[in-house]
Amino acid sequence: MAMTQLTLQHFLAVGSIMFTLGMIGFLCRRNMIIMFLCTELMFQGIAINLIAFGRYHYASKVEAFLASQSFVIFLLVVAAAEAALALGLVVLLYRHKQTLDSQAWQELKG
Amino acid sequence: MNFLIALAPEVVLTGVACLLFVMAALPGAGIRRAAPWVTLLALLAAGLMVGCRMTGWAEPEGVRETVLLSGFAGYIKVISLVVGVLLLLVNWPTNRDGSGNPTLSLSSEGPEYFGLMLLSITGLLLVASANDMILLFLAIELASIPTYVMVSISRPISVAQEAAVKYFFLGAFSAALTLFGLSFLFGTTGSVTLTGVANVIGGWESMPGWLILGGMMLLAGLAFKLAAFPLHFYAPDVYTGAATPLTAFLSYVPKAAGMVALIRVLYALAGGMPGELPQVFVTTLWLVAVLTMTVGNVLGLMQQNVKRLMACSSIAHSGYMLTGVVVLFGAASIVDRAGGLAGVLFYLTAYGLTNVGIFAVLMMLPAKPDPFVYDGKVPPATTAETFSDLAGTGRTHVGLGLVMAACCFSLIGIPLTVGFLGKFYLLRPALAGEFYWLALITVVNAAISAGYYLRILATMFLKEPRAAAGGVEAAAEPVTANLRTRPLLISAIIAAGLGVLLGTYLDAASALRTLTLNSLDVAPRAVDSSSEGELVASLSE
Repeated sequence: MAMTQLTLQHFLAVGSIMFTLGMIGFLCRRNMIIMFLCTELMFQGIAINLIAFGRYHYASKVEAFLASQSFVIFLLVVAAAEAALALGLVVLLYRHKQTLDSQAWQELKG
Repeated sequence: MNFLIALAPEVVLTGVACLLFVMAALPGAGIRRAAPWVTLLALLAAGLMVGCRMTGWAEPEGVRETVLLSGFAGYIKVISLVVGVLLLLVNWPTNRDGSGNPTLSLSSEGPEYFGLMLLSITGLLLVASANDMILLFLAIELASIPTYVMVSISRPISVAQEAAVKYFFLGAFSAALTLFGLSFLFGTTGSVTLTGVANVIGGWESMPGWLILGGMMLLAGLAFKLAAFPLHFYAPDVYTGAATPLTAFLSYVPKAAGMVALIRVLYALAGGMPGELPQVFVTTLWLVAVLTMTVGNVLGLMQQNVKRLMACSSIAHSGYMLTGVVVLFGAASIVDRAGGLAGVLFYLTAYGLTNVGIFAVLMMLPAKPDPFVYDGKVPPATTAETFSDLAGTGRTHVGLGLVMAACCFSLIGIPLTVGFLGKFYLLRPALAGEFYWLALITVVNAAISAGYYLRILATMFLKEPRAAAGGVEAAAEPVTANLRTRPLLISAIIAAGLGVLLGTYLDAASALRTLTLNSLDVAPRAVDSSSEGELVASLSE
């Protein structure tokens, strides 16, 4: 019965699980590229949430449906900008120490 | 077209930022020396437009859904631009070839640096205006993303890049948290404008659990921008890694953007009625405020590096400002709520001015070569950073010492300074609104903070100067004061002058109350107009 139909909750569950996995990965992994990909995973989870919410409001509010999609487009733009920046910064660091391990960078402490 | 008119200051700033990026591609020292002047002109032009808007330009039609231009936004824009000019002066490249100043090493990236600075300030202005969650999110990111690049290019040493990466990763993480919260705010209400959200929430009996979860995520994400408790730990590292003038920038612009965004979003979460914010949020804010100021001050007591110390102080000041937010959303009477908001806004100005003053003095004090080596190259000279750098400098440079003393007293909150009035305006509504514990903890914290601010002054005035104490090591260090850097002097004078003006303008709080509370009108509703009458009546008594 209910299991055969996809509802808002299913999509939210997928989005939230992706977000949580990304968060766990960000906090636990040490490779800087993987850490960055984890933040991307968090962003994509949010995008699923937004699209699902937009579709849910489609029947009652068309403008919410459209707004959710433009929200996601802007989210992707910000994620892309951050990707460009992240790779630039990580490459700069890699040139100094030839490692991607975030624990190798401990000069700032106190 | 109406949007372009409504956002004219932001459009000008963004356009000039693009111009600066093009200028950066051209060779020549002349271009690099012209860049800060272009930036200054852009800031002044934007300030002129904001001023005209506040004193009479009509608001274009049909933009209120997306941008709000009235009192609150106008005030934030004015102080952002004033402090922005001071921060520009602190960052002014005074080297002959325009490649930076003794504390800031930009080599050929000067124009880009100032372009990024303009973009970041534009982000702050947009946050103040945003009435749409998409615009709000983009504005917060616009205020933050340029700062990651600025940290990386501000010093050619590896600590700066380490700081940039730390700052960037946590920034991306907190942006995701903020966005997760916004997605639930949008999803449960079906509206993307803050006005729409407030109207929907205003009609509810109670708030669904999902939205409370989303709201908490939102608070956590914004806590990063504020350097508030759960996400404050990056601040000391990042502020130490960045060049000193950039540290001044980092401790103001992203913090102000976070504070403004927090007030806007909570206003919508409360359904446009600040008194109706669910208790769980008020309690969380209370805890965050108390923990932030306590953690900041206790960390501050343990620092040896003045820039790390200023980072801890900046954490603590976020905590003080959050007490105003607690009062805004937790107090029973509308007068106290308005007072809380006015307190936060006044404190933002007071803190911004004093903070610039401290960093300007640090930059002018005698410098020694950078302790961090980078690729075998000789690093540029840097600012006084540790307490041993400061030893005795108050006696050799009396003027600077006195300015530093005034700024430190202001940050402690000693009477006759603008910082005292700031704390007074925060505490008075807190006491009137019966937040006795909050007020008490704030006062105790101000006393703790005196411990480390006075230590700066004690080191400057009571310790022997380094050269006099001198072993061979001390004599070998080139000691040069950057006293002849005019932009630094000008910014210190403006900061001090405005501080004194504000400190003597005793009606500031009531002026701010009438200016701002009603213009926060995320959801202008019938109820508000009656409380507006009540507010005006009670203020005129």
